Amino acid sequence: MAGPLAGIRVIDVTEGAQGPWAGALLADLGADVIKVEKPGGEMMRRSGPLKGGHALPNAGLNHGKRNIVLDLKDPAGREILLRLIRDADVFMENWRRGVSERLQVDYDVLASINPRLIYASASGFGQTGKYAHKATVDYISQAMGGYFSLTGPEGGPGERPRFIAIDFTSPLTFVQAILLALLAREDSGRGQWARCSQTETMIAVGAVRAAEYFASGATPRPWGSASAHVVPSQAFLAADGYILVECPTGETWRALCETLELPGLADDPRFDSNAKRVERREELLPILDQAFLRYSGDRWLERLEAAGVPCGPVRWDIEDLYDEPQVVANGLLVDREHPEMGRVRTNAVPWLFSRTPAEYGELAVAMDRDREELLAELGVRDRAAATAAGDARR
Amino acid sequence: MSAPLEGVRVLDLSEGDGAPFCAMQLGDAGADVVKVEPLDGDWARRLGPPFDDGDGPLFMGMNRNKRGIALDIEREEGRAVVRDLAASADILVECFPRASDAERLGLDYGTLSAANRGLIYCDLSLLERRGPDADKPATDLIVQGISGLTRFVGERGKEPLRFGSNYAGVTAAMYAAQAILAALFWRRTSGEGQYVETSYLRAMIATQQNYLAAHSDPDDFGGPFYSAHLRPQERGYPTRDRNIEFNVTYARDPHLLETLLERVGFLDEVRADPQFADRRLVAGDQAALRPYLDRAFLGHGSEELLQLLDDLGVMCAPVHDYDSMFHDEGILEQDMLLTVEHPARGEVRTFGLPWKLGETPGAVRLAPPTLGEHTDAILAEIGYDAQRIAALRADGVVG
Repeated sequence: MAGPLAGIRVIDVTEGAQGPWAGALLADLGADVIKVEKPGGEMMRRSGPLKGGHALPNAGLNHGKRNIVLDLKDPAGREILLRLIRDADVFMENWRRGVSERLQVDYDVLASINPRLIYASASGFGQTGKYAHKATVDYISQAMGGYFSLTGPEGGPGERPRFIAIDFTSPLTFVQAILLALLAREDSGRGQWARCSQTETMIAVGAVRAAEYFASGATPRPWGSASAHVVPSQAFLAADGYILVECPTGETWRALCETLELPGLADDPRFDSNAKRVERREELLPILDQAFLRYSGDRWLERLEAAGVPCGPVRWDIEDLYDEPQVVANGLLVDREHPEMGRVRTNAVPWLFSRTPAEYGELAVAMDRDREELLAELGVRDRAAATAAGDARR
Repeated sequence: MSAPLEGVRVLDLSEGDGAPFCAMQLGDAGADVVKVEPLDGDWARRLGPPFDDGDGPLFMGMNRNKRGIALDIEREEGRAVVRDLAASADILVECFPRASDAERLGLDYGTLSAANRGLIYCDLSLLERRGPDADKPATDLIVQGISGLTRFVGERGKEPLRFGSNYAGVTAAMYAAQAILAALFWRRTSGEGQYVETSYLRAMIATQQNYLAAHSDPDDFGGPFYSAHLRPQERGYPTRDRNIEFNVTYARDPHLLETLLERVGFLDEVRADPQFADRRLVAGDQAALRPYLDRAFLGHGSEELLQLLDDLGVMCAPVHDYDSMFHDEGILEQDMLLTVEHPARGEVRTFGLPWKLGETPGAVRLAPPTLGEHTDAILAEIGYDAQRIAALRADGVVG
């Protein structure tokens, strides 16, 4: 493999999204990722929509990994995991608190077998403290992380983004922690325990609203499509529907006023800085609202874009992405073939490297597909171990 | 070693609403990050109120753990300074507005890597550098609209809503940081730097991977999960004080709904309802029980209810706003609220590190710099003497 992590071996026992997506990203980066799955399969194997009896979301979530099924409650299964750990660089888990100790594969145990191991733990709410024991799903973590309070109609109490906003950001922190620990190991020669939680990521994602809170002392509120601290930055209703427009700079504000054919407005001393526009948004917005009604959204977008004003359409369906010219031109959606499911639509790899290209691996493979190969690599040839391993299979 | 990137030098040429977050994360991990700003500052500084010592939240939220230098990149003398800084940098982060800007300024990867072959050059664009919209002016909000994030909030046919907080930019910045760290790892063995890139748009598509896969001609679209955005808005269950969220799906106690209703004094009323009479209540009943739960919970405080749900093994959380979140003991125990001293700003509050590394923890060492705060020190480090710095300053090249 040519990726930047070529030669790194990762043992991934995670379930759900937070861990599996992180493992898949490490695989894209060239690591040899071995998913250790429990008998019967992890929850995402059953999480539809299904195609040919297989879970579509899981196909992408766990791509690029080899797969072995181990019952870690069984001594033989645990023994194989420990053998895998001996030659591994990274171990990834997102069990509920207490499980790793119960299975006797906690940090202390694995670090004693392999002191160079990065033991990476992802959780909902941290490894210690009042909430450490709690299990969670995406929207429960969003609630805890304050994310409902940021989104919603202006003046309202906020609402839950009906999107898995944390399931696909918390893996990014997880990967970051693992990469940092790998880099630290280059200097120290030793692994360490790398931890992250969904709330930690959610708070980092909300960095700007946190800064707003720290500066003002007032808890941030939803502003509809608009922003607490940038005006204009919102949806405007054109003659035939909404478009998005933002003026983060003086130049873009000036260009907007010219495009809207409101020549006096740019130099109007009531509105000639963002701070003034924020403070007098009630006065300013009716003027802009009125102007936008004159033409269609497309016509405004064409003119605003030519004038250098950040602007764009609002897309309401995932199908809109399929023929979005910029998405198509950059190959950001890729149809891949799965032996049983057929075509599965996926993302392109999320980064480009000039020297060590990342590569999107095989869609999630069948459970236990790589058992023989992995056992052979481990040198587990003796009959007893092979039999025990076979018994661990369900 | 107290941080994994100790000794790593980062040159941050970025402004605005995403890429600065990437450089900041490297700073959180111990890198020495030098932020290069125009003489009138990163445009994000001016986006307020609220202001913190003159700087808006977009700037304050994305620029801790950096030192700052101000210079005029539109003048050749200013660009020469940037090239000198890049010569000793390990990593460069930029988000120039146009694809052609890097070459126009002579700050492209080819030019800079010729003098520093170990350089990792990260280009974080909004809409990719190729294709018909490569030079289209955009911001976080604009990419939210194009990538369809706005469909997950609000209500179809009404005013679209902004999704959370800088979601596209921060997500892209996290992907960019991965690319940089992976490239840095590879450099340890190869000695070679490289050019890495990502974009807000690319990141927002990766973020929707489950949805893309779910829409690949399924046999049966199945449960409501991937069409949740078509349902009415939702904000948790009101209680006497604040809303709470809970989900009984994964709880093991087969009688938990009965116990819960009994404890809040509503079991008899629910049993009187023909749809719930004479049968065990199951996880799938949570939605249908909503009218009862809404009335029942109003008689109780959130803490009491969360404790009850927790005792029953049910996933649950308060629906926090930022004020209640940053006062929640369980959040503070994760070290998610920190303060850092700054000579001019005084004590600055900031959020904690998003990961916890046992042996090399990293730290918040620096509050966001004031404009040009470290210009002299940074120039001195690359060998500029006091006279030369004074001349550059007098000439309006640095500030």
